[in-house]
Amino acid sequence: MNKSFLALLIILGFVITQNSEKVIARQGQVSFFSYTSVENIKAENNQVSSIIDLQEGTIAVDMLMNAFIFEKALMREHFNESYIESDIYPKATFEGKILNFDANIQGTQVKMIKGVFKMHGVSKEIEIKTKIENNNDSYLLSGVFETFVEDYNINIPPLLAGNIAKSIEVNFKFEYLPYDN
Amino acid sequence: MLMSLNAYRQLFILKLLLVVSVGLGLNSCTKNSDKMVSESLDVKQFNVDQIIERNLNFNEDNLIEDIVLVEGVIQDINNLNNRSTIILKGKKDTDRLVICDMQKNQKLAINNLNLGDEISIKGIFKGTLNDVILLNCIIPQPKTNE
Repeated sequence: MNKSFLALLIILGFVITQNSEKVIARQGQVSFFSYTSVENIKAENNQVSSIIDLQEGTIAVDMLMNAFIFEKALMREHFNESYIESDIYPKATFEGKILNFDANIQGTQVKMIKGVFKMHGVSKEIEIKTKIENNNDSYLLSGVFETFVEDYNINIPPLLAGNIAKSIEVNFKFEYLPYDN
Repeated sequence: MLMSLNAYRQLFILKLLLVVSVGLGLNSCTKNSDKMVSESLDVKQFNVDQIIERNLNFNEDNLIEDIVLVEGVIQDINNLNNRSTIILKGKKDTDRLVICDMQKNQKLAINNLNLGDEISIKGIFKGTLNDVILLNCIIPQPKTNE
């Protein structure tokens, strides 16, 4: 009787472990573009961290704002010190859910991800159309969306207002591998 | 004649100032957006386990944007997103790693490395997510006594 109970516990434990299968992207890429007639500004961050719980369909993204790379030192300085204030708000995060996600489907599926993006101390609910490619248990998520500077309480001095677009294009690409934790 | 000489001197100084300021402006606009890490810079030294433990204790503030030297074992070398990256692991059994985004001039040095090698990498400490992030990294070359 005790042996049967022990076997049941082991099987249950195995099932529970399987149900919380996670994948991780340690080097996700997030880039943004600001297009104006005065200048174009591009920056990319190649060390964005993200974890997906495949059973739950939940996704979490974490990035360091001071890890964005710009073409010019002055752009990086303005971004970190004046606009994003990365010493006060060092990270941006996203927590959400991939809607109607089936992790077992091989190949490509396009899904909406709904969740809360937090940047510069401001949380905002967003929905992002995302391409998901599943190739033998490695998952590639990519997409593009627009975001507005004023939504995140970012103050642009009037003198520089012409240099920064009101709407910023954000691109992302994450390659996930099994997470053994 | 004396007046015109003074005027000439003033014009020359003005031109010189203009050239210098334009030169400085161009320099600040064309350099890499992050400070460059070089062999000669003094750094704070850690091994992978130490730097991870330090950040788990929320003491990372005083290291951000500092140049650090981290010693560890190479777990992965990759070119994801067209950037050379070396990932270091420590001796403790943890899923936390140190991700080193390498400078472009390090390709030759990276070619000589193998997974499992124990190396030191110098880079700018940016902070911690699941892993510790270092940018603009270099592999310091051993000094020779020539």
